[in-house]
Amino acid sequence: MNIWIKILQWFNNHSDRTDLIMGFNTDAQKAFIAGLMPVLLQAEISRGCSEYKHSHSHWLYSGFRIKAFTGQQLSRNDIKLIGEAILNDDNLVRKLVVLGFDTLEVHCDVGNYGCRWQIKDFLVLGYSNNYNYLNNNSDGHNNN
Amino acid sequence: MDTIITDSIATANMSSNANPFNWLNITLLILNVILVLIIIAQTMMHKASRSKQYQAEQAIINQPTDWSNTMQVFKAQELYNKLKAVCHPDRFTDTEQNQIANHLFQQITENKTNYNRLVELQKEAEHKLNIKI
Repeated sequence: MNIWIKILQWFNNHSDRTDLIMGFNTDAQKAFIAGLMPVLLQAEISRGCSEYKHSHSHWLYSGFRIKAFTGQQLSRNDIKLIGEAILNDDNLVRKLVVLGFDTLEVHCDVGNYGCRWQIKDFLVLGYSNNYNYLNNNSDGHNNN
Repeated sequence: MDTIITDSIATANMSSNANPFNWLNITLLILNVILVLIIIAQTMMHKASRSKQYQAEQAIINQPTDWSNTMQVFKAQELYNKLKAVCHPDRFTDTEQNQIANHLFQQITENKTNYNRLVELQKEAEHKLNIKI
């Protein structure tokens, strides 16, 4: 691939990824203010999981991380629910893959665990239950 | 006389030193031009070969992103819990209603995080199954 095109695509992708994150954060703020969401969500770009790489993955930052500001530990079902809402949207999953994301991570500001999904798994078949814990939860078991 | 000879030697030295520099410059210039032409050719070939994929990617990227499902997911969960109890097929003994309830229940389960779709399914259930939710 030509180096100039690589440079141009890098800038374009970077702005598209930033637009996606900013759009999410704006909508999350509006939903929180309107009372649709009981928690304030904030999206950011993270390193992602190297095991989940695919051909479109960004070489360094390939994780789409959602942080829930709750002030308390969210339950496992609530964390799963937020992830499922994104992964059940086929168009959104496709867009995430094209923009170089390969990992979806959801966690809250308090506590030491969250969930992460391999986005590629949800491209065709829709939602399935294969999610992994980011860290060991308070019970000490690691669910793979 | 001596001065004239010295000048002629100096002139000869200068001309012999200048020639390699000129050739070097010309060679570098030609190489630069060739390099630029190669880059332009590669760009054109790349655009032609990858234009379809690029257009497809841009079409996906330019689609407006709808975060409403994500932002209403907790409301959707409440509605889903209500609907899955009310529209469960086991609650309907009539064969026709049981089939409708079965179909609706499948739809409800598939769209359990899609609030807008669940609202549509709620109206459909109220209309087809004659129930009040």
